[in-house]
Amino acid sequence: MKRIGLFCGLLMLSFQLFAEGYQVNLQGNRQTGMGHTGAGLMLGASSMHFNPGALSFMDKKYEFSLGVSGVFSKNTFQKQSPSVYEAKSDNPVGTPFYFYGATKLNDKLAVGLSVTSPYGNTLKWGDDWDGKYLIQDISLRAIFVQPTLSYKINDKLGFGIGLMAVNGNVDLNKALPVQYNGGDASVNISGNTWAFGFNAGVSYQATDKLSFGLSYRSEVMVELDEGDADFTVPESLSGLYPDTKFQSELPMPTNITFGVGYKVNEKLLLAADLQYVGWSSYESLNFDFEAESVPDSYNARDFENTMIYRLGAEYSLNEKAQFRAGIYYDSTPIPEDRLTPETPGTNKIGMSLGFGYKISDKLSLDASLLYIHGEKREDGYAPTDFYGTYYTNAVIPGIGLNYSF
Amino acid sequence: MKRYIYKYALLLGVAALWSCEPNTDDFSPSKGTADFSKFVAIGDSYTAGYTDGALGKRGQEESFSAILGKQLMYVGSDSYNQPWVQSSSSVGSTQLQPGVFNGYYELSVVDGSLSPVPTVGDAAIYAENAQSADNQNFGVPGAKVTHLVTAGYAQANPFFARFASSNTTNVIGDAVAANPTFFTCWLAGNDVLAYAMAGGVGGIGNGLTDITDVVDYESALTAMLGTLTSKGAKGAIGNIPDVSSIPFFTTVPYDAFVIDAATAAALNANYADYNVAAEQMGLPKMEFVEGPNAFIIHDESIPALIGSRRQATANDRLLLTASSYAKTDEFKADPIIIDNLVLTVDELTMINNATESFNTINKTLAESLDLAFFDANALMKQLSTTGLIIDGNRYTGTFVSGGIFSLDGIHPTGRGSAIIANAFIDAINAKYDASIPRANINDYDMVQFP
Repeated sequence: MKRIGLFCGLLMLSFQLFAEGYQVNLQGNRQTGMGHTGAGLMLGASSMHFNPGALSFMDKKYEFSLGVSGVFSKNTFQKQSPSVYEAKSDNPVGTPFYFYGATKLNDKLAVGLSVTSPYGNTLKWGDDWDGKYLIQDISLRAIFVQPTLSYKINDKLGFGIGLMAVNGNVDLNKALPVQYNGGDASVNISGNTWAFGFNAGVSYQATDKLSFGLSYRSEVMVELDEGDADFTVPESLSGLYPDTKFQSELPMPTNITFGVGYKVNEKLLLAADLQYVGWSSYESLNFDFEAESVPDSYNARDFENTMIYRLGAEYSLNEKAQFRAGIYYDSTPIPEDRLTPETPGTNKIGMSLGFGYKISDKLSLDASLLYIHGEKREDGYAPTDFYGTYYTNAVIPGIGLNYSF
Repeated sequence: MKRYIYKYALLLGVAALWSCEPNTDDFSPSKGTADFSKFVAIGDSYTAGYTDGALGKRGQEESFSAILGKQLMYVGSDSYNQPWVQSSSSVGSTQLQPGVFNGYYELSVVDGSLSPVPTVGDAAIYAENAQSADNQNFGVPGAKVTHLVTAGYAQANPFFARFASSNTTNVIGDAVAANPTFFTCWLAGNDVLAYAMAGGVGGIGNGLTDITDVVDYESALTAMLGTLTSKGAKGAIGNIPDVSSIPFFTTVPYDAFVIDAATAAALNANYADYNVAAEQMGLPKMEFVEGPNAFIIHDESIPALIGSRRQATANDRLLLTASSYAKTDEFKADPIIIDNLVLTVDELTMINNATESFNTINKTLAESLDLAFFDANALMKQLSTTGLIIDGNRYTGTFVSGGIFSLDGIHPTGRGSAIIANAFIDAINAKYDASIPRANINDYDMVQFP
């Protein structure tokens, strides 16, 4: 199956979306193989992202885990009928990654540090495509650095909390409807800033077979006070559109996840997660430009809160190897008439496979393959009257290593 | 369990392989009940591709008829041949100097502000021979409905002489000889515009700057459409926009006469006698203050005794060309907007009445001949009031920045033409149950800034 995934990947030199909105749920290859479940499981160092409460249940004294995914996806836009216009995005390969390092200070207390990239979006539609006045290309990435503390209250109950330091980076280009020399004017918007939030979780081992977990990841409002707006305009308008600073903000929404794990027998582990994402905080994307001659820009988003439903299984083939599979349904936060080509979201079904292999007592490897099928969506963005049918899918192979001792 | 996992793996693998690219449902164009195999466009400067005050190849490539012709190739048309301008330049109808005609207007920075400036055109274009039996574009800049049925019109209009089959033929005769299966026939308004652009110097009749007589308009259009449809051709016709939605008539404010205190005092002194007489006649007085004032305009309804003049009101319309006239020495010597640069309320009423009558005739003929109908009047009204948001940009009837109108203030830009072409497509699709794909507006040009 890996071969099929890579084969597809070679053919598709572009990628775009991972999860709905601009959230990227690829924070552990073991979990990804199981439909990205994990809030109700005790999965060692990677629990720092999924449920900090479960970290205190880690087996070994030290555990390190790192991995990366390659997101190969395809977006096709067909203009609203009657039209024969079709565009395909042509994006660089997205590479969300994770690193976890944790240690047990004593039997009850564990500390760790995680570095993940749970939000991002890289899309390249092209400089001269039909939606150029909405977006030409966008690169959005947030890196979360999270020191975490987890305490085992008793053999059944663990609690954990982490501080999230978020580095947000944005870089986008769009054309402006003013022409010179046969082409359009354009603007580049870029910025980088830090913001903070927290992640907390409770993990409960109800019986030998059954475990529960509840995790809460706070909203992080990434506020950009000193972004750069660089205008490329005809000379006669350069006085009106100088390069200037701008203020803007973008929320990384609240996530609340409830998870259940059930060990059917020694070989089979089942998991289910219910993930709530508080997208309603993304009401609009506004740019407040410092130069007075540059009109401020208000863009309604009106996202809605969503649920993601996840199921996963892990089957031990033998002492060393495990097979994993999962499926999830991710509903879109983007309401009707608010669908932009910058985040062309739709309801998605994700199907995953995973493979784990214990190379030695200390070292293990996880590989995963996720296929995401986006429902065809015929919709658009009313304020700028840009409508059509968006098609989306993605194949995401991932690989990770775990080292513990 | 193992078995299930393998099955699932297989399913996922197949799905992933199958979907290397998303499977799309493609739009299929269809001709409906019409036959687009030979498309012919008949009309005036809009059909010809006149833009930025001149005719040239660039405008011909982006006229509404050329864009429509291109889109009709998806539904059975295989060509759209035009009487191409062979010169790399362009030519308009304004004489910059004796024998020197204007070319395209260009936006330039003049005294610190953006203004359209004419380039020098190539008068040799008038003498070009672009005649071809394959021609499909019978748009003649300046033509009125009555001209198209007039034999020998090539002798009066060099734009027709370029491609007329002979100097005794008429436009409609040549168009019918092309054997169209589908036509557009849109006279966007010279029947009223010629008068309007002359500042209302003219009357009702057949003079160059007259408003066409309604009876003549109806009989010419009826004859033309009758001939076109007599062999079974289907088609689309359009109506006439209001002058109030065209920037040539809306850009110069009536009260943009800015003067200093000394000039105001001098004018008040000059018009003291006028005011005494006006008061006796029950007419408004003229008063000037430092700053912006209403322009003085020529109005023949004011007695010649007091100079056939008065101050403009919001109900009068100054032509675009009045703004450059207001900078001349002639204006400075006697600051009045002369007769051919202003439309007074009375003249506007005449224009509006004629537009309304002509549009009633257009509508009636479209219905009786079962033709698709493009409501240009409604489209331009929408553009000049609320504007129209299309694919990420807001288009309005505003001069230069609105995106629709070119630098002559009357003819469309490439984008404006594409919006018109799409409106024709919508009308044709609706009438003939066809699915002609719309053009991409953003593929075409707007005014170019320096």
